[in-house]
Amino acid sequence: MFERRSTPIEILRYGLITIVLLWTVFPIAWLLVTSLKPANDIMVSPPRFIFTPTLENYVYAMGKANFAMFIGNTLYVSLISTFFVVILASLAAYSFARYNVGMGNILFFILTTKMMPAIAVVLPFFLIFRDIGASPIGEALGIGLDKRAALVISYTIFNLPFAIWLMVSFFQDIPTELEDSARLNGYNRLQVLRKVVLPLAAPGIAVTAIFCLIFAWNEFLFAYILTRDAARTITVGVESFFTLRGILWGPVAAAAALSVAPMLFFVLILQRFMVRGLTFGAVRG
Amino acid sequence: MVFWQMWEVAFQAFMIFIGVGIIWLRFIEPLFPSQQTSVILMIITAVGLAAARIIVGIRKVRQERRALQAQIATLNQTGQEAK
Amino acid sequence: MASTSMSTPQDTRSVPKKQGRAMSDAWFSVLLILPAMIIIAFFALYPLFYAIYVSFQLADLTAGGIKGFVGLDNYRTVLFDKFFWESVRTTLFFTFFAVSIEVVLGTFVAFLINGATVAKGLIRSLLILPLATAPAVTGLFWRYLYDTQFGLYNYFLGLLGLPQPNWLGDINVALWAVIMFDIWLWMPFVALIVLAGLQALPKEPFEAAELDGAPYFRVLRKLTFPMLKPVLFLVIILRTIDALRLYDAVAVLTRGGPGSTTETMTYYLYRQGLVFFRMDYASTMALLFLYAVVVAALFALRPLLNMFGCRAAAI
Repeated sequence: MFERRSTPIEILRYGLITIVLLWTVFPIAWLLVTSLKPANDIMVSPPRFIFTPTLENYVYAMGKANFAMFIGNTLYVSLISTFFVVILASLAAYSFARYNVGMGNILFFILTTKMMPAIAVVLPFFLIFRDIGASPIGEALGIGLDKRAALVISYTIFNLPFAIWLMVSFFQDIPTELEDSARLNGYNRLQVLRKVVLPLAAPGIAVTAIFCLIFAWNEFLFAYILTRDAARTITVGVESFFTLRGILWGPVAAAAALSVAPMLFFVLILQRFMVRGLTFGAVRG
Repeated sequence: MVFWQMWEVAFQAFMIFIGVGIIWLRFIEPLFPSQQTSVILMIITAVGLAAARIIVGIRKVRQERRALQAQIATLNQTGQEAK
Repeated sequence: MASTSMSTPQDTRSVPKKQGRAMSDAWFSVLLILPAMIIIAFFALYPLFYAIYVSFQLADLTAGGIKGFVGLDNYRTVLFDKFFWESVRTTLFFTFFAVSIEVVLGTFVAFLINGATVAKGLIRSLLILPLATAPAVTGLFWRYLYDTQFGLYNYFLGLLGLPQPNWLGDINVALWAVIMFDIWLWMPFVALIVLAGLQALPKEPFEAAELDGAPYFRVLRKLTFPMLKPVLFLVIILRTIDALRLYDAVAVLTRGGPGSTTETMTYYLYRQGLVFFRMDYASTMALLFLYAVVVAALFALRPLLNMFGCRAAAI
């Protein structure tokens, strides 16, 4: 764009950028700092910036407050739902990308399902899972309210539209010549898919998988409504430090830090694909 | 292509049907002494407007088809003349 | 795809030699999407029909569950419910201010970054961080930041000599506290996307304009923003749809309070359905909510897809 580099403007530019970055990062930084503070240094006014760090909050959260189980639940639910989503979505996305099934109208419909207010889906889900859980099939399969399977199913459905859209954009990036030459060499469609397309699409599939993992990991509404004690995930579990004695901010911060850290790590890996992922593949940032 | 066009029109007609119902229940029904007459009139109006949308939609599709056929006809003519 | 007449396959295990094709392309493509579509259709449509069913019943879960057809009564109740319309107003208020501030600030930041020559990667990495967090988790921590006694925000405001509001307790401020959190969370999102859009713009028009000596703001108005329109529109739509469905932040920051000043539609719906257990009202409201969103989507998505050249918008 305009290359008029005048130093005062540049100073202003970087100054503003620094302010924005500080504001953006600071709550997360303060979260980490607070999680390392002993309890006495947290509920003080004015806030204390110098203190001796301690791990007692983490110990308390993982041990006494059972947070480790919540982490296990979140891990289980996120990984398994992502696994299902990736398989289903890559097949469907390939079909949409190469064969244009439904002339784009089915894709459009899928997008509109993504726009549904989740609450309109969760309340019936609550009733449905309640009924399934009470029925013999549900008890045998382990599906019902406050069961991890309910969340796995919910997150699979929740992430499927997004995953399909994102992967369609990745498949569209793969040139068709390779597939065409494979077909000409005698491979049938499934083999082309397996041997040619999937290896090429692997990065895109991985990116989609990580996005689905992040969304499932951070999801709150479904987890809050469909679970109670046994299948509770970390997003809901962070709130469990609100006791009658008051809010234990230290352990809350520790729990929050544990919840947030893995995703921060993944997001930094995904940095290149963030824009594409966040716009469902529409903007190839 | 034809299926999706019809689906579009039908879906919009359906949305109109429901929309009329919602607006009617909120604003027009209180003006009626009897709930039954209100509901009957509401259904009639809703169906009517939805049907209107369908008719307009069908007309447009027919128009487009005719225009397309006219285009094809002129192309054929110029093709024949070129022979 | 012409492969019925095949040259000799190098892999002898490749194709079962049947008559013609084993399966046509059309069937294959449909088969691939079938598992996903079945799941989407079933789990998107079944709850929908269930909700429709319940919305015509009397369904007070504390009084024994779903029974009794009541016709349109639930709709009448909901449409005349003062609190329902309050929640609609709150949601629209929140959406309007949050989205517009996010988009304006985000675009401004995108322009700032676009002109930067160093550390762009680092800047983008840092901007991504809020998006990686769970709003429900960081939102909870923001309660601590908003605390009137121990919170950092009021501490800094005090240092600057500015008034220190009761962020979450004052009925005039609470919704703005939620808006501020949302801005913190999503402004980077807008900035990153607009930045990507800016970087994807072709260079030639701008070089030509510079050669012609066009002033900066004229270029901005006549060249940059018109070309950015699709991206800006996309960002506004995405944010609006998400903002209308706000729940997480309200649930952890204010729980709808003080009073009901921060009660968004989703939160009120949740309260009706799972606190008061009036599933009939909740289902009805959910359907009305869904209807509004679908109508909005119909109006917004078509031009959006047109801008991105999608075939789906061909009608």
